[in-house]
Amino acid sequence: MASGGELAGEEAMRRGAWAEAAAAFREAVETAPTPRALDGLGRASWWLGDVDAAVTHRGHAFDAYRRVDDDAAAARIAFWLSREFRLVVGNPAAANGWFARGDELVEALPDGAAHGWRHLARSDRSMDPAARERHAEEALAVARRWHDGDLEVYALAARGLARVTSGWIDRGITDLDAAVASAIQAAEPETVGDVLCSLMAAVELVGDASRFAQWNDVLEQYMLSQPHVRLTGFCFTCCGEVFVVNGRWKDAEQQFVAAIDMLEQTGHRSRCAHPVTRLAHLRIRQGRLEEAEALLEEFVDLPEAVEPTAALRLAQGQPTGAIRVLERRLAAIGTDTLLAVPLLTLLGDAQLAAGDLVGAAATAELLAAMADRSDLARVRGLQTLLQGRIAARGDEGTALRLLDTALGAFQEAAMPLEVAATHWALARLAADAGDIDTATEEGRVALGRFRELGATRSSDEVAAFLRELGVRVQSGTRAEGLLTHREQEVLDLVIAGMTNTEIAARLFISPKTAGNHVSNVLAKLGVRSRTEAAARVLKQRGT
Amino acid sequence: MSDTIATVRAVYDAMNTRDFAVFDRLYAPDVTFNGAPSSPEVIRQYCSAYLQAFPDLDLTVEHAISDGTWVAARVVARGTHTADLEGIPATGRSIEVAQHDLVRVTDGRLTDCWTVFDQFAMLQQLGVLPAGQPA
Repeated sequence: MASGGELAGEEAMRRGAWAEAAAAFREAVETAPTPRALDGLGRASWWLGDVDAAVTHRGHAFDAYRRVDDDAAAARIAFWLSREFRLVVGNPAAANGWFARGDELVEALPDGAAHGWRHLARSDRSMDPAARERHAEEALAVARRWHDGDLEVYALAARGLARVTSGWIDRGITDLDAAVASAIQAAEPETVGDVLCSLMAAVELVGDASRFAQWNDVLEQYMLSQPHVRLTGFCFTCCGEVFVVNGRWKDAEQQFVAAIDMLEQTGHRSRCAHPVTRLAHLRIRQGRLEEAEALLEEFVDLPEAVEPTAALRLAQGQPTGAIRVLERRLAAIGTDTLLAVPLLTLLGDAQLAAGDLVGAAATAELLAAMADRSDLARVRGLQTLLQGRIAARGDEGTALRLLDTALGAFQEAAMPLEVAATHWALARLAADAGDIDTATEEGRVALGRFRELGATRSSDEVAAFLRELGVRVQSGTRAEGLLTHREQEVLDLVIAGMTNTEIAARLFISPKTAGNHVSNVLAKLGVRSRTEAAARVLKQRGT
Repeated sequence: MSDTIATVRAVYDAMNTRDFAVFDRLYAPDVTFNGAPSSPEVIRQYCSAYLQAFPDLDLTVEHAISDGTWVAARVVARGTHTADLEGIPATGRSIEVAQHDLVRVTDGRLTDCWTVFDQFAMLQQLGVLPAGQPA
């Protein structure tokens, strides 16, 4: 028999009233620390964002379930604890320990859903997408045999994400579609959270949110009907990366900064990629290398830091350093997955920069294989851009055809930085062939695109190229009249009513530097106060 | 003068006869390769990768001159691509590619090697750059 407190707590959980649920469960625990009350308190704490309390309470729930010989329930908690310790707390020893305890309990249990939860935990722990898919498949079979709806949704999402990771996009999306459909119909709120997380990760891997457009309305409806489920809180990093790919760098920056804030407040690890590494890579694309280097300093050991670290080395003119870190990481994750695509792209660029055409051509072959399998315009574009740049070393006709293909693919995939980079490659190709008119035209397009994005180093490079061709180019990147991009950013924050300290925190600069920027902005606008600046600008923008 | 050229020719001969015992002996233990520290072992691995990809690989010295220490050689490499090369799968095509080497010989051993070969021509002859239409 469940106590009144337990029932009240569970009812509140279904409504998403986490604080109310936590209070009810706490009361129930004080009356009698039953496994069900402890587990409820742990789950409610987790939704309230207190992972440490959740881990403690569910740890007690594990002991309590063991005492009443409900080993299936205990094992499921052990697998959950293992995952939280690994992903969020960052304690692999504890994570392994909890997995081993769950594993041992399930081993002794007769056939049942618990075996499926163990398959799911194995899938989750594996690095190899093929193994993840295999374990998820077994979990799915168990879920269907024992009619465990939640397990079925988790397993479908896990299999779908694994398939997408391996480049089997259509089959993977079919699984994810099925998972989201069933999750929204029934299931615990945790299940919905997990599925959405998998969906976001898949969007990031595919690099094209439009492939998932059919879910936008459904998800929006779901969020509106259950406004308490603030699931996007988990997804800042992945969300942000999709914005980067699609050229919405300001939105991306906001997502990363929000995610970094959240991690700093809780002291936890990021669930997927650490947002600092993502912000660092964005800074490199923006040409702000010193800031990127400072951001990466503390995080170089994270696997997700490999990509920005390599990009930084390459931007600093050290291609062999970039090749070294990329090859090491690729040896660990394999080249046969979508996860490898950004690394292979950088590797090809670095090999070209180091003069290793054979290596670059081999890298392009790997990208071609993934483009064939996934049929993603993004990957096809990256492959043909690299091949076009190789061909540009001696075969103009082939280079032109390849770069045209790349351009079409990047436009289809809505990747403005790569569109700009392809125009830039076309400009240099034309210049090498002595076709100054085409070089000028392509260079101008590239310059415009790079400036729109705020990719300052690239736009400076193209501007210098155009000047060398005798083209008059407005110097520097200017917005709001005379402001630099950085000053423009500062101005936007001033208008938002932020203090120098807040601006400093947002832009990862010292308060003194923020103060200097603000003074320069006020001087350039010819105003005496922040309020006057805001009034002037808002009036000019017609807001 | 001529014995430095003979030393360098011996390296190409060792490559052509796949005589790695001789090959290893001809390089100084602290040899540099294109300006970076290397070793006979590393250079042998590098060459082996090409020998595996082009099992009939043959190097012909078309011209060699020496100033007594440094030897410059113009070489032509010919072979058939029948196995994976750094990840490029076998194409079955034949190549004929120019290579230019500048090496320093000290006490009968190669101490510094600079080498360039026409990678682009090789890739073209292998046909690995597609015509630009998606597959």
